[in-house]
Amino acid sequence: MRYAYYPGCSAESTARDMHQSTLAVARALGIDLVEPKGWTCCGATAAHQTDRLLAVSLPAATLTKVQDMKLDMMVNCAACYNRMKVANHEILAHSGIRQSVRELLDRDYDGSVKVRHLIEVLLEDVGLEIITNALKRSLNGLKVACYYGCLLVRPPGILKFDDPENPTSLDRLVKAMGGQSLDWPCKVDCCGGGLSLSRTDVVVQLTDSILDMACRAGADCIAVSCPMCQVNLDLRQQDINQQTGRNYHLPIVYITQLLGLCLGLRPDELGFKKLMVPAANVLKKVNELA
Amino acid sequence: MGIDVAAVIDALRKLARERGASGQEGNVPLFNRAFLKTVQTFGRTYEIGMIAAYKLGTGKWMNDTEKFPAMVKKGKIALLPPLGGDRKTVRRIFRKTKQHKGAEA
Repeated sequence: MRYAYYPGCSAESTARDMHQSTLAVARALGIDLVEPKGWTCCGATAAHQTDRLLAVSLPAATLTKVQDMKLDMMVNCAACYNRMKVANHEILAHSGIRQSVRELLDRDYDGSVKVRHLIEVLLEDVGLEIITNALKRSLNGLKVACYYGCLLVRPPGILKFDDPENPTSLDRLVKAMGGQSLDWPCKVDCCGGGLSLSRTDVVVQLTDSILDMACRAGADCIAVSCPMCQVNLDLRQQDINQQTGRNYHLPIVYITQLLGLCLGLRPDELGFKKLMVPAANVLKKVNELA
Repeated sequence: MGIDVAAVIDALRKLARERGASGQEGNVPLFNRAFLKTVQTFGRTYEIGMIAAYKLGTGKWMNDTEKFPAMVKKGKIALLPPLGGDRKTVRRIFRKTKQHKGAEA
């Protein structure tokens, strides 16, 4: 199994833990990941809020590199995954956009590179059976609130990732690892995304609501697969506690960190020390399989 | 047939900005400009550069500064700019997008 792996810009900064655990899990499962040489930023929310052509051309610049590699693209960052798939859709659906992108890139791109999220690769290509057979440890009933956020599932007509209202992909992985995936109502709520600096008040309000519901559901941690969601939910707990008198200490872990632990990898190989809210309760709960 | 709500919001935002009616967005356009400037320069996001440019624009230097030491210690903030991206192509995209916009206007 070989993919062109697009780490996304946050892999070099705020989401080094996601990047590190993605590579470690891929190695453990025999997934070969190759970074496209010279990959560039997908433009994220800033580009699509600014200019439609810029928002398509920036992802297309990397998609053309992947096309030359003759591989499917695998992405773990939900935001990058979203922008890559939307760019493909725009190019396929609008010949005028394709023409404009050709002028900008000085080469044609037909929108044909298959973009896969890591969760899709794990569930559809590797398969739960192989993953379960590779497990060395169990989450041992750890109560996990699986949080998908916006960018993995919306717009559903373009992304086609799971059920947009009640996705279960992460939940299925958690269950396979011996965890208890919680039934809770905030799976696809918005955390405020890229507004963390420009509208911190909005992010504090939205993340407070998500954290509150996860705590009420009895969560030991929240599992995510988006660096923006992770940072907002992890970093803003301190602000919420100061502003509202709450006392959140809920670890926000990447699904790849949980999977890595269960595959027998060490916490330091999975970037656990990089979490702002320590995940000591998670590490304590995980036990060896008999 | 479904309605692409995000695309409609993007189109309305663009129209509002063109008509000078985007004041209510607060610092969001400033953040977007700071973000895209680092992408244009380095080919990838450079968070310290982006945060500095954003704070310079808002004048609110102290917001979130208390988190900075812990983030640096945990390696959550890259001190050096990213150097591996295809900057030539990205700069061309920005230059041509600007020309395209000019031709549209």
